[in-house]
Amino acid sequence: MACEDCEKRAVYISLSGRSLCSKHFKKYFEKKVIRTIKRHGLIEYGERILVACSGGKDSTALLSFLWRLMKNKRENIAAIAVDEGISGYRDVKLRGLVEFCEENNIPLNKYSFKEQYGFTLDEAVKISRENRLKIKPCYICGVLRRSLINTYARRLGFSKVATGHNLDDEAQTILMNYLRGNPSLLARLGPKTGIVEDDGFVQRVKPFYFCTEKEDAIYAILTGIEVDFVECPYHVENYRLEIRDFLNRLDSIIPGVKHSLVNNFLEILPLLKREYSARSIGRCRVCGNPSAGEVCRACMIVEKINPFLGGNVNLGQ
Amino acid sequence: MKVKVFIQRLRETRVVDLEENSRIEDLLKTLRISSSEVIPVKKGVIVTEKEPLKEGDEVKLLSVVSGG
Ligand SMILES: [Zn+2]
Ligand SMILES: [Zn+2]
Repeated sequence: MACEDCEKRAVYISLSGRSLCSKHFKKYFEKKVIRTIKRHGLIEYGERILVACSGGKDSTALLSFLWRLMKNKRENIAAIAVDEGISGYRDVKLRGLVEFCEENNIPLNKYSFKEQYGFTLDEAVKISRENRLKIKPCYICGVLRRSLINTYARRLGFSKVATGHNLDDEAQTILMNYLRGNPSLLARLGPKTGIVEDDGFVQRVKPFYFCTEKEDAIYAILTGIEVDFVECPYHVENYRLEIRDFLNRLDSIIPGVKHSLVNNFLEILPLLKREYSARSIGRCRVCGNPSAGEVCRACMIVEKINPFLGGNVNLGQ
Repeated sequence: MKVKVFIQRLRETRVVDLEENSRIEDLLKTLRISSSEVIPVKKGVIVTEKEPLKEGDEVKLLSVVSGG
């Protein structure tokens, strides 16, 4: 099959039926990302952007793309990576990221749960299981990672955090929250997150919002980013996997079902935001990050794990 | 006709029997793999679902999922 623009061999057929060679696929992809950034005001002129990197293909591809996009304003962009302490997984993933940043001279800020909170994720999971604390690995990981990134984005003077979330991720999260009956969590989604205007909260933006996981992966391969397929050991406990398979099966029967799920969601998002944005938000008395309660969710996790740890513990301040 | 396929996510190679004039999309259907989960590679280059197959072809199905 030939590219519709140049007759070269096609690597991809878009949802609307366009067949594209590698060069024209890259153009198609980057155009879509730039349109997302402009249309949703993800990056304003002169803003400083911190790219949250996991070592996975999505965030590395995003970093690579933004690094090229902002080639005249490189002082405004840097990467942040968090090592949660997942043995055999994150250490492997971050090795590639460190190399990538070194090769391209991209400033990388690296932090770890161990230094920051006094325990690795592996240790926290073990403690939680042994003592029946019932805190799920993905919850500990997600909450602590977000808190750490927010803290350092603020401290390092960045106005936005960019993440590599794609259309598949968003479709999964939307469906998961619908099925669980979590409308207030739905209000936090969208290409630009946050329902509260608060200077303590660094807004998160998703430039790959309208790109599918497959498009991201092809883009990553074509830009020379190594795509590994090491999966997180804690993923087996994850409900997201079920939703992912379900949506992909559905999408092969009804092409574009993920796109319409996300697009329809965006229609109602302003209503959700209006409904849930009135609540003012305070500050966590422990770490100072924005928090609905007196103590934020990250500090609550740390307080629960702490009593089971030996030695000194840093509360993330 | 027989086609050899390497499924990256399962780290597994299989030989699949397909009808003449089948394409990658038919291979995926036979394997019950969603097209949005894999990138087909033939002779070292990425190909589309419409790529025709012939006896003895070797296909790799790269996983698009990287687990964050
Ligand atoms: Zn072309
Ligand atoms: Zn706190």
